[in-house]
Amino acid sequence: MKKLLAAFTALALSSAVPAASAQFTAAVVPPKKPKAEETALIAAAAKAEKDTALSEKLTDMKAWVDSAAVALSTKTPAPAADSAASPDSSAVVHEPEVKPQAESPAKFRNGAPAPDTATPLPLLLLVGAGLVAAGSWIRRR
Amino acid sequence: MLGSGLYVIGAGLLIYSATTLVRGALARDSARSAWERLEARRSVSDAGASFAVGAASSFVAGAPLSRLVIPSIGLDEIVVEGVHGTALNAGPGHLPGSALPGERGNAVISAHRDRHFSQLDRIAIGDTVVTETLAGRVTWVVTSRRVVGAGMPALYQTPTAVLTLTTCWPVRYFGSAPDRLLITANPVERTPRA
Repeated sequence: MKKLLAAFTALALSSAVPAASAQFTAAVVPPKKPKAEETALIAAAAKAEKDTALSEKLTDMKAWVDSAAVALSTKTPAPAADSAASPDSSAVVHEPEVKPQAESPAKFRNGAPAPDTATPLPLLLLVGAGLVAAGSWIRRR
Repeated sequence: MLGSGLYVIGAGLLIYSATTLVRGALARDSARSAWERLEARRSVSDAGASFAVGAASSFVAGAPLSRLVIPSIGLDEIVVEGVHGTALNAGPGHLPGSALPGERGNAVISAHRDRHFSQLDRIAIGDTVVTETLAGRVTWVVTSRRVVGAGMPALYQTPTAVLTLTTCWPVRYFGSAPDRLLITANPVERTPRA
Protein backbone atom coordinates (compact mmCIF):
# COMPACT_ATOMS: atom_id res chain seq x y z
CA MET A 1 0.00 0.00 0.00
CA LYS A 2 2.84 2.32 0.93
CA LYS A 3 4.63 1.49 -2.27
CA LEU A 4 1.51 2.18 -4.25
CA LEU A 5 1.05 5.56 -2.52
CA ALA A 6 4.69 6.54 -3.12
CA ALA A 7 4.40 5.59 -6.79
CA PHE A 8 1.22 7.61 -7.14
CA THR A 9 2.82 10.62 -5.45
CA ALA A 10 5.87 10.39 -7.69
CA LEU A 11 3.67 10.18 -10.76
CA ALA A 12 1.60 13.18 -9.65
CA LEU A 13 4.68 15.27 -8.96
CA SER A 14 6.29 14.39 -12.24
CA SER A 15 3.13 15.33 -14.16
CA ALA A 16 2.69 18.61 -12.23
CA VAL A 17 6.22 19.92 -12.90
CA PRO A 18 5.66 21.05 -16.51
CA ALA A 19 2.52 23.01 -15.56
CA ALA A 20 4.24 24.59 -12.55
CA SER A 21 7.29 25.47 -14.56
CA ALA A 22 5.05 26.99 -17.23
CA GLN A 23 3.26 29.12 -14.65
CA PHE A 24 6.53 30.07 -13.06
CA THR A 25 8.02 31.03 -16.41
CA ALA A 26 4.98 33.13 -17.28
CA ALA A 27 5.17 34.93 -13.94
CA VAL A 28 8.88 35.59 -14.07
CA VAL A 29 9.24 36.85 -17.61
CA PRO A 30 9.69 40.64 -17.21
CA PRO A 31 7.34 42.86 -19.11
CA LYS A 32 8.62 44.23 -22.33
CA LYS A 33 10.32 47.54 -21.88
CA PRO A 34 8.63 50.13 -24.03
CA LYS A 35 10.89 51.43 -26.68
CA ALA A 36 12.21 54.96 -26.38
CA GLU A 37 9.99 56.11 -29.25
CA GLU A 38 6.88 54.67 -27.60
CA THR A 39 7.75 56.40 -24.33
CA ALA A 40 8.18 59.71 -26.10
CA LEU A 41 4.85 59.28 -27.90
CA ILE A 42 3.01 58.48 -24.68
CA ALA A 43 4.54 61.48 -22.94
CA ALA A 44 3.68 63.77 -25.87
CA ALA A 45 0.08 62.54 -25.96
CA ALA A 46 -0.33 63.06 -22.22
CA LYS A 47 1.13 66.54 -22.47
CA ALA A 48 -1.06 67.41 -25.42
CA GLU A 49 -4.16 66.19 -23.60
CA LYS A 50 -3.25 68.22 -20.53
CA ASP A 51 -2.52 71.33 -22.56
CA THR A 52 -5.73 70.98 -24.53
CA ALA A 53 -7.75 70.81 -21.33
CA LEU A 54 -5.96 73.88 -20.07
CA SER A 55 -6.54 75.76 -23.30
CA GLU A 56 -10.23 74.92 -23.26
CA LYS A 57 -10.45 76.23 -19.73
CA LEU A 58 -8.63 79.43 -20.70
CA THR A 59 -10.88 79.89 -23.71
CA ASP A 60 -13.79 80.21 -21.35
CA MET A 61 -11.97 82.84 -19.37
CA LYS A 62 -12.53 85.53 -21.96
CA ALA A 63 -12.31 88.27 -19.42
CA TRP A 64 -8.92 87.09 -18.37
CA VAL A 65 -7.76 86.83 -21.96
CA ASP A 66 -8.97 90.33 -22.73
CA SER A 67 -7.20 91.76 -19.74
CA ALA A 68 -4.04 89.89 -20.55
CA ALA A 69 -4.13 90.58 -24.27
CA VAL A 70 -1.86 93.54 -24.19
CA ALA A 71 0.47 92.01 -21.65
CA LEU A 72 0.88 89.10 -24.02
CA SER A 73 1.73 91.27 -26.98
CA THR A 74 5.01 89.41 -27.02
CA LYS A 75 3.30 86.19 -27.95
CA THR A 76 4.64 82.90 -26.69
CA PRO A 77 4.53 80.18 -29.32
CA ALA A 78 3.84 77.48 -26.73
CA PRO A 79 0.03 77.32 -27.04
CA ALA A 80 0.19 76.97 -30.82
CA ALA A 81 2.73 74.18 -30.57
CA ASP A 82 0.69 72.38 -27.94
CA SER A 83 -2.49 72.60 -29.95
CA ALA A 84 -0.67 71.19 -32.94
CA ALA A 85 0.38 68.24 -30.85
CA SER A 86 -3.13 67.76 -29.53
CA PRO A 87 -4.80 64.59 -30.78
CA ASP A 88 -8.11 66.46 -31.10
CA SER A 89 -7.62 69.21 -33.62
CA SER A 90 -11.10 70.58 -32.99
CA ALA A 91 -9.97 71.76 -29.57
CA VAL A 92 -8.47 74.91 -30.97
CA VAL A 93 -6.37 77.12 -28.78
CA HIS A 94 -7.77 80.58 -29.15
CA GLU A 95 -4.93 83.00 -29.10
CA PRO A 96 -5.49 86.07 -26.96
CA GLU A 97 -7.03 88.85 -28.94
CA VAL A 98 -4.29 91.37 -29.50
CA LYS A 99 -5.88 94.74 -29.35
CA PRO A 100 -5.30 97.03 -32.29
CA GLN A 101 -2.93 99.96 -32.06
CA ALA A 102 -5.75 102.39 -31.42
CA GLU A 103 -6.74 100.65 -28.20
CA SER A 104 -5.74 102.01 -24.87
CA PRO A 105 -2.34 100.77 -23.73
CA ALA A 106 -1.90 98.83 -20.51
CA LYS A 107 1.78 99.68 -20.55
CA PHE A 108 3.72 102.66 -21.71
CA ARG A 109 5.26 102.48 -25.14
CA ASN A 110 6.47 105.08 -27.55
CA GLY A 111 3.67 106.47 -29.68
CA ALA A 112 0.93 104.89 -27.63
CA PRO A 113 -2.46 106.56 -27.41
CA ALA A 114 -3.56 107.99 -24.09
CA PRO A 115 -5.09 105.43 -21.71
CA ASP A 116 -8.79 104.81 -22.04
CA THR A 117 -10.32 106.75 -19.19
CA ALA A 118 -13.80 106.72 -20.65
CA THR A 119 -16.44 105.56 -18.20
CA PRO A 120 -20.10 104.77 -18.81
CA LEU A 121 -21.04 105.82 -15.28
CA PRO A 122 -22.52 109.25 -16.11
CA LEU A 123 -24.56 107.69 -18.91
CA LEU A 124 -25.74 104.87 -16.65
CA LEU A 125 -26.78 107.37 -13.99
CA LEU A 126 -28.71 109.41 -16.55
CA VAL A 127 -30.39 106.40 -18.13
CA GLY A 128 -31.19 104.93 -14.72
CA ALA A 129 -32.74 108.15 -13.50
CA GLY A 130 -34.70 108.46 -16.75
CA LEU A 131 -36.04 104.92 -16.51
CA VAL A 132 -37.03 105.36 -12.87
CA ALA A 133 -38.84 108.59 -13.75
CA ALA A 134 -40.57 107.02 -16.75
CA GLY A 135 -41.53 103.94 -14.75
CA SER A 136 -42.96 106.04 -11.94
CA TRP A 137 -44.94 108.14 -14.41
CA ILE A 138 -46.38 105.10 -16.21
CA ARG A 139 -47.32 103.42 -12.93
CA ARG A 140 -49.11 106.52 -11.71
CA ARG A 141 -51.28 106.84 -14.83
CA MET B 1 -46.33 96.10 -15.76
CA LEU B 2 -44.26 98.20 -18.18
CA GLY B 3 -43.93 100.93 -15.58
CA SER B 4 -42.72 98.48 -12.97
CA GLY B 5 -40.24 96.98 -15.42
CA LEU B 6 -38.76 100.35 -16.31
CA TYR B 7 -38.68 101.28 -12.66
CA VAL B 8 -36.80 98.12 -11.71
CA ILE B 9 -34.27 98.44 -14.56
CA GLY B 10 -33.68 102.10 -13.77
CA ALA B 11 -33.27 101.38 -10.09
CA GLY B 12 -30.82 98.61 -10.96
CA LEU B 13 -28.70 100.99 -13.03
CA LEU B 14 -28.75 103.59 -10.28
CA ILE B 15 -27.79 101.02 -7.66
CA TYR B 16 -24.94 99.74 -9.84
CA SER B 17 -23.64 103.28 -10.42
CA ALA B 18 -23.93 104.17 -6.76
CA THR B 19 -22.16 100.97 -5.75
CA THR B 20 -19.33 101.73 -8.17
CA LEU B 21 -18.97 105.21 -6.76
CA VAL B 22 -19.01 103.98 -3.17
CA ARG B 23 -16.47 101.28 -3.96
CA GLY B 24 -14.30 103.95 -5.59
CA ALA B 25 -14.54 106.17 -2.54
CA LEU B 26 -13.58 103.28 -0.26
CA ALA B 27 -10.68 102.32 -2.52
CA ARG B 28 -9.55 105.94 -2.57
CA ASP B 29 -9.54 106.07 1.24
CA SER B 30 -7.70 102.80 1.34
CA ALA B 31 -5.05 104.09 -1.09
CA ARG B 32 -4.61 107.24 0.98
CA SER B 33 -4.19 105.22 4.17
CA ALA B 34 -1.67 102.96 2.46
CA TRP B 35 0.24 105.99 1.20
CA GLU B 36 0.34 107.52 4.67
CA ARG B 37 1.63 104.26 6.09
CA LEU B 38 4.32 104.19 3.40
CA GLU B 39 5.33 107.74 4.19
CA ALA B 40 5.44 107.04 7.90
CA ARG B 41 7.57 103.97 7.34
CA ARG B 42 9.83 105.93 5.02
CA SER B 43 10.34 108.69 7.55
CA VAL B 44 11.21 106.17 10.23
CA SER B 45 13.67 104.16 8.19
CA ASP B 46 15.82 105.17 5.28
CA ALA B 47 14.70 102.19 3.26
CA GLY B 48 13.34 104.35 0.49
CA ALA B 49 16.77 105.37 -0.73
CA SER B 50 16.64 102.80 -3.49
CA PHE B 51 13.16 103.92 -4.47
CA ALA B 52 14.49 106.73 -6.62
CA VAL B 53 16.04 104.33 -9.06
CA GLY B 54 13.38 101.64 -8.83
CA ALA B 55 11.74 100.48 -12.01
CA ALA B 56 8.23 101.80 -12.36
CA SER B 57 7.07 98.50 -13.74
CA SER B 58 7.94 96.73 -10.51
CA PHE B 59 4.96 98.13 -8.63
CA VAL B 60 1.97 95.99 -7.90
CA ALA B 61 -1.20 97.05 -9.70
CA GLY B 62 -3.32 99.21 -7.45
CA ALA B 63 -0.47 100.05 -5.07
CA PRO B 64 -0.14 103.70 -4.11
CA LEU B 65 3.04 105.23 -5.47
CA SER B 66 2.73 108.99 -5.46
CA ARG B 67 0.74 111.94 -4.27
CA LEU B 68 -0.53 114.43 -6.84
CA VAL B 69 -1.47 117.95 -5.86
CA ILE B 70 -2.81 120.64 -8.21
CA PRO B 71 -3.63 123.68 -6.08
CA SER B 72 -5.31 125.65 -8.87
CA ILE B 73 -8.11 123.09 -9.19
CA GLY B 74 -8.11 121.87 -5.62
CA LEU B 75 -6.89 118.39 -6.46
CA ASP B 76 -5.08 116.27 -3.90
CA GLU B 77 -5.07 112.59 -4.81
CA ILE B 78 -3.01 109.47 -4.26
CA VAL B 79 -1.80 108.01 -7.53
CA VAL B 80 -2.02 104.24 -7.77
CA GLU B 81 -0.28 101.88 -10.16
CA GLY B 82 -2.22 100.89 -13.26
CA VAL B 83 -4.83 102.37 -15.54
CA HIS B 84 -7.35 99.53 -15.44
CA GLY B 85 -10.87 99.93 -14.12
CA THR B 86 -10.24 99.06 -10.48
CA ALA B 87 -7.18 101.28 -10.20
CA LEU B 88 -8.88 104.25 -11.84
CA ASN B 89 -11.84 103.78 -9.52
CA ALA B 90 -9.49 104.32 -6.57
CA GLY B 91 -7.59 107.29 -7.90
CA PRO B 92 -5.48 108.64 -10.74
CA GLY B 93 -3.48 105.79 -12.25
CA HIS B 94 0.16 105.70 -13.21
CA LEU B 95 0.65 104.12 -16.62
CA PRO B 96 2.85 101.05 -16.01
CA GLY B 97 6.17 101.28 -17.78
CA SER B 98 6.23 105.05 -17.79
CA ALA B 99 8.65 106.90 -15.53
CA LEU B 100 7.85 107.69 -11.94
CA PRO B 101 7.09 111.38 -11.37
CA GLY B 102 10.47 113.08 -11.05
CA GLU B 103 12.45 110.34 -12.73
CA ARG B 104 14.00 110.87 -16.12
CA GLY B 105 11.38 110.11 -18.75
CA ASN B 106 7.70 110.65 -19.30
CA ALA B 107 5.55 109.98 -16.25
CA VAL B 108 1.98 109.41 -17.37
CA ILE B 109 -0.91 109.75 -14.93
CA SER B 110 -4.51 109.22 -16.05
CA ALA B 111 -7.89 109.46 -14.36
CA HIS B 112 -11.58 109.46 -15.12
CA ARG B 113 -13.04 112.76 -16.24
CA ASP B 114 -16.12 112.27 -14.06
CA ARG B 115 -14.17 111.70 -10.88
CA HIS B 116 -10.60 112.56 -9.92
CA PHE B 117 -9.81 114.64 -13.02
CA SER B 118 -13.25 116.22 -13.30
CA GLN B 119 -11.66 119.68 -13.01
CA LEU B 120 -8.66 119.01 -15.23
CA ASP B 121 -10.18 121.11 -18.01
CA ARG B 122 -9.76 124.17 -15.75
CA ILE B 123 -6.00 123.78 -15.54
CA ALA B 124 -4.07 126.45 -17.43
CA ILE B 125 -0.58 126.78 -18.80
CA GLY B 126 1.65 128.10 -16.02
CA ASP B 127 -0.27 126.35 -13.23
CA THR B 128 1.71 124.47 -10.64
CA VAL B 129 1.54 120.73 -10.09
CA VAL B 130 3.24 119.00 -7.18
CA THR B 131 4.10 115.32 -6.99
CA GLU B 132 5.45 113.50 -3.99
CA THR B 133 7.02 110.09 -4.15
CA LEU B 134 9.03 108.30 -1.52
CA ALA B 135 12.10 109.68 -3.28
CA GLY B 136 11.13 113.31 -2.93
CA ARG B 137 8.90 116.15 -3.94
CA VAL B 138 8.86 117.70 -7.40
CA THR B 139 7.16 120.92 -8.40
CA TRP B 140 6.07 121.09 -12.02
CA VAL B 141 4.75 123.87 -14.21
CA VAL B 142 2.18 123.16 -16.87
CA THR B 143 3.72 123.89 -20.25
CA SER B 144 1.23 122.51 -22.74
CA ARG B 145 -2.36 121.46 -23.08
CA ARG B 146 -3.71 119.64 -26.07
CA VAL B 147 -6.60 117.49 -27.19
CA VAL B 148 -6.03 114.43 -29.38
CA GLY B 149 -8.28 111.73 -30.77
CA ALA B 150 -8.76 108.67 -28.58
CA GLY B 151 -6.73 106.40 -30.84
CA MET B 152 -4.08 108.88 -31.87
CA PRO B 153 -0.45 108.39 -30.84
CA ALA B 154 0.03 110.72 -27.90
CA LEU B 155 2.61 109.38 -25.47
CA TYR B 156 6.31 109.47 -26.18
CA GLN B 157 9.40 108.73 -24.17
CA THR B 158 11.40 111.83 -23.28
CA PRO B 159 15.07 112.26 -22.41
CA THR B 160 14.22 114.50 -19.45
CA ALA B 161 11.62 114.34 -16.70
CA VAL B 162 8.15 115.21 -17.98
CA LEU B 163 4.77 114.77 -16.35
CA THR B 164 1.77 114.01 -18.56
CA LEU B 165 -1.75 114.06 -17.15
CA THR B 166 -4.50 112.58 -19.31
CA THR B 167 -8.23 112.23 -19.13
CA CYS B 168 -11.14 111.94 -21.52
CA TRP B 169 -12.34 114.91 -23.50
CA PRO B 170 -14.83 116.58 -23.52
CA VAL B 171 -14.96 116.40 -19.73
CA ARG B 172 -18.72 117.04 -19.67
CA TYR B 173 -19.94 114.35 -22.01
CA PHE B 174 -22.39 111.48 -21.80
CA GLY B 175 -21.15 108.25 -23.30
CA SER B 176 -17.70 107.27 -24.43
CA ALA B 177 -15.74 110.48 -24.93
CA PRO B 178 -14.10 110.60 -28.35
CA ASP B 179 -10.97 112.57 -27.44
CA ARG B 180 -8.27 112.79 -24.79
CA LEU B 181 -6.99 115.83 -22.95
CA LEU B 182 -3.24 115.84 -22.40
CA ILE B 183 -1.58 118.19 -19.94
CA THR B 184 2.20 118.30 -20.00
CA ALA B 185 4.31 119.74 -17.20
CA ASN B 186 8.02 120.22 -16.69
CA PRO B 187 9.88 120.15 -13.38
CA VAL B 188 11.04 123.41 -11.86
CA GLU B 189 12.00 122.35 -8.37
CA ARG B 190 13.06 119.13 -6.73
CA THR B 191 13.23 118.48 -3.04
CA PRO B 192 14.75 115.12 -2.24
CA ARG B 193 13.71 113.47 0.96
CA ALA B 194 16.12 113.90 3.83
